[in-house]
Amino acid sequence: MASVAIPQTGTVVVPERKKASDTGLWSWLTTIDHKRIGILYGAFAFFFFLLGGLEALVIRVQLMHPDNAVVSPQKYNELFTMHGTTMIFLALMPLASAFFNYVMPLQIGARDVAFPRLNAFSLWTFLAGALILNLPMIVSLPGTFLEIVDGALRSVGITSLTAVANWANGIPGANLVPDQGWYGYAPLTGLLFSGQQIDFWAVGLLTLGTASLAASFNFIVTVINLRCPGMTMLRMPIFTWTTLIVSVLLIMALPAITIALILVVFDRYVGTHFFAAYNLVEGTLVTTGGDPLLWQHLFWIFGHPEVYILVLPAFGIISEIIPVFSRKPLFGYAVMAYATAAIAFLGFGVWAHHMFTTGLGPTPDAVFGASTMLIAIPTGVKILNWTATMWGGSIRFTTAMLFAVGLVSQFVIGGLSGVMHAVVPVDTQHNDSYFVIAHFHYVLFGGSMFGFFAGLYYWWPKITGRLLDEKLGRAHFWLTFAAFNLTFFPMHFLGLAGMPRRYATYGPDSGWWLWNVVATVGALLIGLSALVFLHNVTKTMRKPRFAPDNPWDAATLEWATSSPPPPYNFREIPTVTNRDPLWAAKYGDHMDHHEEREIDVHFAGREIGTVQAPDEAEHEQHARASAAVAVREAAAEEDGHGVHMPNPSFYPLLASLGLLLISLGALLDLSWSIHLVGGLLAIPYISLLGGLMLFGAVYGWAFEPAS
Amino acid sequence: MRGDGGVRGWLQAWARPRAGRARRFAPLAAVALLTLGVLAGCGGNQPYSTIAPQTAKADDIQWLYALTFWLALAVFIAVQAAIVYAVIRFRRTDDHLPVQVHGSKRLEIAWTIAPAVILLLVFIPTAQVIYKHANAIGTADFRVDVVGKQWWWEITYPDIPANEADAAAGPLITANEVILPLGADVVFDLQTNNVIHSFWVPQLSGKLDLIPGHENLMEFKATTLGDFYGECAEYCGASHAWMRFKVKVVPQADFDAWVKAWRTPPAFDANPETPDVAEAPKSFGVCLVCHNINGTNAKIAKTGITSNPFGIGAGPNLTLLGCRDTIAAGLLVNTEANVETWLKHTDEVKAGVYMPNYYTAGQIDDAKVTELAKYLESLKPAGGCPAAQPVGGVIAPAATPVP
Amino acid sequence: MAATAIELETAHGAGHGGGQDHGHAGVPPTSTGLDSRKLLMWVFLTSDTMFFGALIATYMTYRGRSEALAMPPYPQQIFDIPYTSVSAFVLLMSSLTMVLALAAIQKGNHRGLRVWLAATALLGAIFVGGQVFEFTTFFREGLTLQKNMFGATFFVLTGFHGAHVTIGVLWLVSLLLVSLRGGVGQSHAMNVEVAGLYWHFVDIVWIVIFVLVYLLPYPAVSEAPEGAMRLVDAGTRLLHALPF
Repeated sequence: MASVAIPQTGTVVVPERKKASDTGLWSWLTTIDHKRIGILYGAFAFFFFLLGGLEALVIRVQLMHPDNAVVSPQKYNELFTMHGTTMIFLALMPLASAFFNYVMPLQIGARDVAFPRLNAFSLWTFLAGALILNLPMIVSLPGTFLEIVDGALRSVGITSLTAVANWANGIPGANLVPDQGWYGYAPLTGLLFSGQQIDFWAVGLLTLGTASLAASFNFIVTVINLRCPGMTMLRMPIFTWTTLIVSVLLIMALPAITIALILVVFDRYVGTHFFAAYNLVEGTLVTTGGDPLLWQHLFWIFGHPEVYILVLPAFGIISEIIPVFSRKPLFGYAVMAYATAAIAFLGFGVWAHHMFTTGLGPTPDAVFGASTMLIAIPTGVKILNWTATMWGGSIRFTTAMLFAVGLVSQFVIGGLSGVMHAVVPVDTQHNDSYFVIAHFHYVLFGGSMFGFFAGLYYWWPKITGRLLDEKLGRAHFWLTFAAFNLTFFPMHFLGLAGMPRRYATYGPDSGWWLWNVVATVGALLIGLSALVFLHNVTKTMRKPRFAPDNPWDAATLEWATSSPPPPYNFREIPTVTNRDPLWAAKYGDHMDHHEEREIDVHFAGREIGTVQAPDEAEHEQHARASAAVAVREAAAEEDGHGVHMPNPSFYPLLASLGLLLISLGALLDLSWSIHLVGGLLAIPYISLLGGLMLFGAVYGWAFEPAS
Repeated sequence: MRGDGGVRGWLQAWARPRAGRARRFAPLAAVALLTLGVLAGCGGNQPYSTIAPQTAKADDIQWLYALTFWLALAVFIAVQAAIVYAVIRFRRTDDHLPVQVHGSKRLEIAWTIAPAVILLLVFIPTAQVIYKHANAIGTADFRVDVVGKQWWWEITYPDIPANEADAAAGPLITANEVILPLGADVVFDLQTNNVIHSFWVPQLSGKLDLIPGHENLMEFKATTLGDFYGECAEYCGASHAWMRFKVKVVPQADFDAWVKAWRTPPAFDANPETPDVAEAPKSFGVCLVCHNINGTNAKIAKTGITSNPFGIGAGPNLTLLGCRDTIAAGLLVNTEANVETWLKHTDEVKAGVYMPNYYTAGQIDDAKVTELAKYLESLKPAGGCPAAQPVGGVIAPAATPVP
Repeated sequence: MAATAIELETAHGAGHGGGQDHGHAGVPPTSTGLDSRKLLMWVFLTSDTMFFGALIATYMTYRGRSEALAMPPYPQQIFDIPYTSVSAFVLLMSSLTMVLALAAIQKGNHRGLRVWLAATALLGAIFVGGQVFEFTTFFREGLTLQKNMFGATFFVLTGFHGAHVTIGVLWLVSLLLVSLRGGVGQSHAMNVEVAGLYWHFVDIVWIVIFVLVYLLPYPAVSEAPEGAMRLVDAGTRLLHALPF
């Protein structure tokens, strides 16, 4: 029943996949299946999304009143630092990775990614980095909550909890939560101004960077090299395009922050001054020649592309969803692909717009203002193309579609406020104020998170074989939509009223109270909406697997296999002749995208566009291929599904564990060390153990037979 | 295509009681909220408001903001209207297969060019204002040096000597309050020797960072009388939220009087052990390592960016402290009681503060705290402080703008 | 990669297997015809270019800073250009021997492979040894990471490059050992080719570093007293150096 055709040659009769360890914990720890890895990425990312959300809730409760003291300023600084870092590096990026991992190989008709064990290594290294980054926060959270409860109790005269709260806050490590803000501006991160908490942040991010780089290398090679027959670059689903472009962005952007973080570590422990203009020598301040602005340049050369790394995956997801539920192909497919690439390319030329208040001078300000405005053009094209995709369609409002349309609508707000920030003089008023907070939450929540929720509802049946409850889904969407706007729209007003970000509290004479209360109420409702989603998930997972292979009448290859797909994805590697292969099969060739012949389309009484007319020859070829599929599928039913896949491997996990121990050893206790070179070089025992594990794992990995 | 197109179909769709209704109202609600917020920004007591400009420079910025705001609102309404219309008009009612449109070169070119044109409309005035403000720095004639500390501001008037007779006495220095004469075309020289801060008085100008190793200049012309609220806008550590300051624009005569009062030794004689009025009380002995008071023996503390970044021997200058509105950089209202609170609970009320708590350390007792508070509050001119001005932004611009 | 999966791919004329272990001969069964390992190396090198780019940008930002602040030692006092030119030449020659090693194995000449691999590794090791000697000499003359910005940026940039060469040498030695045990057949030429790609990249990067760090003249030393409090405007300078 598909345009999923297989060639006439070759029959696959191969031994059964090994049955052993198919479902247990060990099978998950050693899995190299891109689908399982995707699920694990998603699960960990969602956990951190909830953790980051919890941190945000404490922040909002603290800001509910002027001069509030729910948490101390120190704890507040830790909370906003970890909220930002967690949401960006541990929630949004791995959520994107989850979708890339699960969906992309299916969409291009591949059996797995190009390097499955490297893929597993990326996953476990991500988890290692997340643990390093969050270790102090995990230790400190009990103290934070006890402190809050204690504060409430003390306000009514009960002091019995104070001792416990103080004890919890005194647990070793509880005072080591990173507190320098997610972009860690030097020289605040230097040894003069910050303690060991910076090391957890820097080493955590370095580890996460390693994971992201490895994953991106893998995705790029997979998209370029493992496409099924007939899947030309311009037949790839837009989500696959997005995977490719975001991966390219990552491999180009991550080096800048990696080097910058290494230089921070050098500044802190080797005694260099890359990012410090002054140094204290015997009580006297001396010039070093270093420059804190270099950190900002290096950070934002990574940091701005990072914004697109976070939002483009969501764009890719809704570019799949909107056509499916509008029953129309994506409007301007090629332009959408090029626009994504244009956004990515321009994204490298705008970093200094984060630095308009650093005094770069009028010419750099004007140049970076202009380049920033340019990005609005491809972004605007995307918004309008999504709208045009819906236009004239037959729109079905599933939850996935609601979130997708929600993204289109809400991202416009974030995009427009973004243009305001390109107007340099205006940015000098908005920069580092709540206007910016509002802006990037419209981009990252209204953009990325809406897109990821859309993707979760859309691909959930494919991943689990169960459809999420649509009624609860709708409730989830509308609650999220309302609560999101209630939380973040008033932040525009707070920004205009001059409230700077990262203020632990504000005075009663500031006039900021009203909108802070509204935002706090909204934030609590966002928390509630997350509970609705979790309820939907737990409810759904108790149901039997009844989802059909293609519940949404979608067009791309992942819907051609079963729900959930078998470990080998496709019994036979499909061949595509079309951009929307499943639609072509179902509705016939008038759905085909032939670039050569177009017929005019009339829209609102006027001729506005073109539809490609069917091509006779290809139609015929197609019909033959479809017939072949039927025969082949029948044959395959008899054969069973004996596609041989590579074996699970323990080495990627061991290598990541080695990395984790190397970092932890260096971070936790340097006194537990072997001292070399006359005491100059201290190698912690734990790091040594980790190094041995890493070495052993790489050795075993290199010589492990794949099957 | 749907058969029941046109207004009738649209009305039917509108009337259909479905989840779509809330969606229809969402953009409306957003616009309403926006309007409300803008009104709130203009109307209420918003001393940090970015949209209540009180200088020509802030006016330029506000004009640009208004331009982008209205253009953005127009685009917002157009796009939301298109989305809402599409969502209502093209809802699935039957199992028909819509016409398969794959794109339109003409439309796509159109909506590539349209935003480009709008952006050009925004960019031209943007560039003009950028260069206008950059060029204005060269013509400013009233210099104020600002050094950002953790977490307070050192304000120096390099062109106003502390002592007219003695050039070696250095310039006039104060903290956390910038007093300006009406009409001054002021240029702020922003520097720091610790971490990055950002100097921001929203009603007077956009913000500009203080970066170690850099010297940043900010210019505006003080044309409105009033007290304007300022704050640190770049995260700078534990007490970032308590790094507030004020810019007080006063009539020239008041400014001159303030300078004169600053140069006059304080008339404090409450301490019988120190008959010389120029000497601070003995209890100030622990303080004068870091705090200078002009005209007294408290004059050893270091100032400027070469001073210790952690405030060791370099605290705020306390001359005319009695005239300041707040203490501890906007943390507490300046009263005797609050000065006592500050002295007794320094580290509790201001997180991370470098000033030691000599009270808990046992170096000053309750009596000395009281004495110190009394002394510090007495640091004001005999004829009283310059008249308090209305808080900027609440009151309309001065009746007589300076030419 | 499973043998059966390879057959499956071959039968279908395009690759979809999961597994980096394409241990087999012939045209790699992929969409582009490029071996995935080779593509992976290209992608990695793209990223590595950005790593070096960030370090070189850091070096260039602070180039001349020590002279401007009169903080010795200065590059022109310290560098021994003839010495470093010889070691740069050694590294460039190793690219030639690497080409010969690949050519040998592609023709099935195992002895040639071993000889040229050994030569490449040896030349690389000579370069690294030369760098260690250079670093030691500079250190004795007072240039340290902590001394001034020149020391910090120089050691970090060239050290990062040296680490790359060291990893390359270890890789080549591993290939040599595997080859001596008979593990690198003609069909494994791709393993040598990928290592070669990495090796040539590291050589090319050295040419850039050599020119920017050693050969381009440095500004004159300023009269300012050592360690004085001075303001520098590096960020603005960096931006004005941009090509637009």
